Amino acid sequence: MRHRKTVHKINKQPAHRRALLRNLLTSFFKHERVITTRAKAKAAQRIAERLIRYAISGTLADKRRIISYLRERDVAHKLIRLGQENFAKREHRGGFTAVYKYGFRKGDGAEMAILTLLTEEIPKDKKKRKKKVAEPEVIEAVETPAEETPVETAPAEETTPEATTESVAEETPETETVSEETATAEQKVEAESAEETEEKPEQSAEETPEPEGAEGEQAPEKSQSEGEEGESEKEKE
Amino acid sequence: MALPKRRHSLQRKRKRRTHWKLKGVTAVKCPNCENLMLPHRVCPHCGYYNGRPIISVKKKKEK
Ligand SMILES: [Zn+2]
Repeated sequence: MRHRKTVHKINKQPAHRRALLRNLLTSFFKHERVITTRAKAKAAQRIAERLIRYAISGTLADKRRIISYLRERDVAHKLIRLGQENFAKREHRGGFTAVYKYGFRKGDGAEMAILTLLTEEIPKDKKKRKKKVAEPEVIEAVETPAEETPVETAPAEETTPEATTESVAEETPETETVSEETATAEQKVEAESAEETEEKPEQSAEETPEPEGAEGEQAPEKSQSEGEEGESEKEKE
Repeated sequence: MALPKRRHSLQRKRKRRTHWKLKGVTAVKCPNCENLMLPHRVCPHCGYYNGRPIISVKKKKEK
């Protein structure tokens, strides 16, 4: 059975994929943060969590697994140290990484994401607050200070006005069809030319909008180039 | 080969096309900086997500 054998394929053959992810994960653990496409981030995240589990367990075999996977020995040892000194002391046993969606790349519109190593624990009260939100919505909005309100309590979505190209067709008189059938050749030519001119405004109305909301879609300011072979972009901070 | 029996009138064509509509983009106010942004994403204006800074955003020089 092939149950639970799902792989993020990221549109690559196995060898290519493995090489790419090894490169990506090496730079990820090196810099503790990496900006890639969302698909690659998600694929790398699974393996990152697995490597962290090896680092936490810290047996000789597991250390060797890490060393053989990552391309740089220094980085492997850094991960092992991090696992022993940091991650092993957490209450939770997973969730040491996070993928944050981060806009769209300029060149091809690919969705970008930030894969981060959570070296510091996220304060726990966040979860409690979420539970509160579920019950009294109105009161909660008043209680929480404006700065810290979680995304869930954000003011109701403001949808940008829908670009409507409304019922151009309905305005045309019904008699048209009748007249068409009885029309002389001349009239037909007229009707067709009229059709052409009428179509144009309709189309332009459909193409132009992509209104205020487009602002939110702006690609990240740093435009990244990305080598196919997994030379992932690194974010140094 | 199957062929259309009659030509479709302008009305038919246009009625069909009334359903070609663009949907508006769902935008949300950033809880940190109040700018509009897409939901479930790091804010492109201030770099916050879920109440915490994720990335530092360079500010554009105002003209
Ligand atoms: Zn913001």
